[in-house]
Amino acid sequence: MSNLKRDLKIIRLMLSEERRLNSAVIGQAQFLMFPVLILFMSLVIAISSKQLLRTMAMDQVYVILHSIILIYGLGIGGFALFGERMAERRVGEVSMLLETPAIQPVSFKEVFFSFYVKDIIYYILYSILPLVGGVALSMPLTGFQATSVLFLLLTITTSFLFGISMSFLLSSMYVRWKAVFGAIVVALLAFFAGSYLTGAYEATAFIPPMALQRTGDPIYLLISVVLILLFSAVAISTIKIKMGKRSEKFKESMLPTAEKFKFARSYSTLMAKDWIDLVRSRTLFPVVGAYIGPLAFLAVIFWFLGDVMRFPLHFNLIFYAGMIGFFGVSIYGWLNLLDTTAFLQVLPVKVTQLVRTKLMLFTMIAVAASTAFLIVLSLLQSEVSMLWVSLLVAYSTTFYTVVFTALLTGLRTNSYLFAPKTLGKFAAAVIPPLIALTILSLDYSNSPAMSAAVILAISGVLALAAFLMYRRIETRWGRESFTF
Amino acid sequence: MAERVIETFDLERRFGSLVAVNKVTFDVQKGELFGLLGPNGAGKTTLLKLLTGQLDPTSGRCAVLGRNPSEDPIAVKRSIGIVPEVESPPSFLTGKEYLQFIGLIRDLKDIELKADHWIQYMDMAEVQNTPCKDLSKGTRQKLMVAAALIHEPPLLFLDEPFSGLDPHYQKLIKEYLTGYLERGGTIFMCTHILEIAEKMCTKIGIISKGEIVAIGSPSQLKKEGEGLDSVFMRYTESPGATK
Repeated sequence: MSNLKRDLKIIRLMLSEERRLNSAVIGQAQFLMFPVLILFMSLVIAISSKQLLRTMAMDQVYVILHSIILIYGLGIGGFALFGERMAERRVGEVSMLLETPAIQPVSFKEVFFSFYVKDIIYYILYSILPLVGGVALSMPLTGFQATSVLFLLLTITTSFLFGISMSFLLSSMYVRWKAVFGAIVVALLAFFAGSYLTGAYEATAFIPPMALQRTGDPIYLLISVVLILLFSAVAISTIKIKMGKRSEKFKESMLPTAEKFKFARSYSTLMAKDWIDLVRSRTLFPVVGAYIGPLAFLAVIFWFLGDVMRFPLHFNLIFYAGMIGFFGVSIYGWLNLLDTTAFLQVLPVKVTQLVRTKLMLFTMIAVAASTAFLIVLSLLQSEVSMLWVSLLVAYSTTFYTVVFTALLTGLRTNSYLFAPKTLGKFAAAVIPPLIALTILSLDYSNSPAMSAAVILAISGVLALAAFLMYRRIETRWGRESFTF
Repeated sequence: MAERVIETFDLERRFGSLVAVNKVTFDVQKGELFGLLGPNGAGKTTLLKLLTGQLDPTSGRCAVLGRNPSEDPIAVKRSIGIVPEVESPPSFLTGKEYLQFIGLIRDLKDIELKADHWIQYMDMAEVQNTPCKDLSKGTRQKLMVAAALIHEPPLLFLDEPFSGLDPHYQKLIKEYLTGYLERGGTIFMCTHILEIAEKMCTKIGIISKGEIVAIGSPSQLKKEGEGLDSVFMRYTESPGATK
């Protein structure tokens, strides 16, 4: 069998594996409902686009949409970090095709290439196509032209591929050559600084797929494709897989760490164990990065578009404070991926104890990271006066969102959250307060006192709801098993 | 009259249309080593999980040390020791830290001393600084056994406890278990190793397709001149027979 044929076969098997894994975790019907839900939501938004366009220019809609899709791609492209750990840990309690090279005559690079292509196909079929499909279905009502919708499919897919390939490249660099990774970050910062000081660059030079949508110039399609292929090729050829076992030794720290976490009382042992996991698996940095990273990236894009490009787009500190709660879900998700919990099944420990432990650990990390992020951003945006309101908003939305996530998903956040029913509940509970806070943040400069009063009232309601939901965790997850 | 530490009555567990454990009724008395034998997929591990509060029964009832594992799984787990079928200690704690973790979870006194004792007893010097994910399968299994014994429970549930162990450590654990029984402990053990079952068990149950098809002491189950392997074959369908 030729290599290409073999790779195609592996990709097909991996797609089946992905479908079966998700179906096994959330159920066949739920699994199939997810794209339908996206399609429906996209259709509703497309139908109501006339109302949306009264308050926002089409160009702004494109910028925001492509930014979100780019971040989506960035978020799922950290394969190299995953690769570094794959030889050490299994995917939960499930063996996967990705582990095949350990015992079969096939290289990790080849299997990783298939995995990368599989993920691209999977996410395009599962989320990008339904997203654009909803817009396509709205054509008889909205009058959107078929060519525009097809062009949107092209630019959105390109934005997604740009994000996923860039993230894959950066994570590969980070794993193999931390110095090169540092150099790339410095180069990007220099690029921003240069843009700011000289005004010489255009936004189009930064995100070509976005430029393609805004200008329709095919040169940006060419640039996008070249960059996506280049990023992917470099990432695949440089990805580093650590095979076998590392001869790492650790100084004994269970008892002293448990002593440090004594304030957590009956949760101190589990908390100490999770903290040791975070430190020894070197996951603390990615966890904080997954929390702050997307917002920092968004802040940089908005700053670039607003201050450098003079594009009419400004979001104040309160907007970021509201958004940070939403991103808190990623920390909770990461904490649930740290290690297998199967060994707890034979011990006198309940799933709810571990859920609460993770919420406590989450609180420690989220409060520290969000406070630092908002203080720095308040200084950069000269919005120190908004800091106190922003901190209250950040804390209340964070706890509300994450406690609700814990109530909905327990210890299997990344599996259960994407079940359509769960996702629907999550969206219904999280999006309305987020929209309210966003609107109030935009109006803050017009009437600060009034806006602050309403924002604080919403924050108070969210904090109370978080407290009530925290108490319901026992009822929901008290009888749950640690194993599948 | 001897004290019953495990009692089951019409215990049943279904997974959809599959009946994994089918109306099982038996008891285990204090000081016994009850060996549960059966072919692959017969329901041994499911039965052990029902008795230890890891699974709820579909119907029927059971009591372990006078408690219902389904109603109060934490209390049952606190008073017993379990060696699970698959050895899976936490990845990033060292072996010694794992034993300390167990000590903290179980509120033991002299945690350091107990952890050190078991490391020495099981000859596991390498677990002092090495994370569990980097330990060999055999060492991880020894660690799981030590973790189940560290609090000296009155009742042990062992699911293939000798899996992955070389003959030296099999002998060491057999000696420990013999002493444990002499001190009044009780053991419920699932095993495929018929030789160990024949030599060590005071009572044997054979499970096939979820049903207990034979129960009694090894001498009661065997006909004259017969080995336990023949008894096993007699009561269970051979793979060839099912084709």
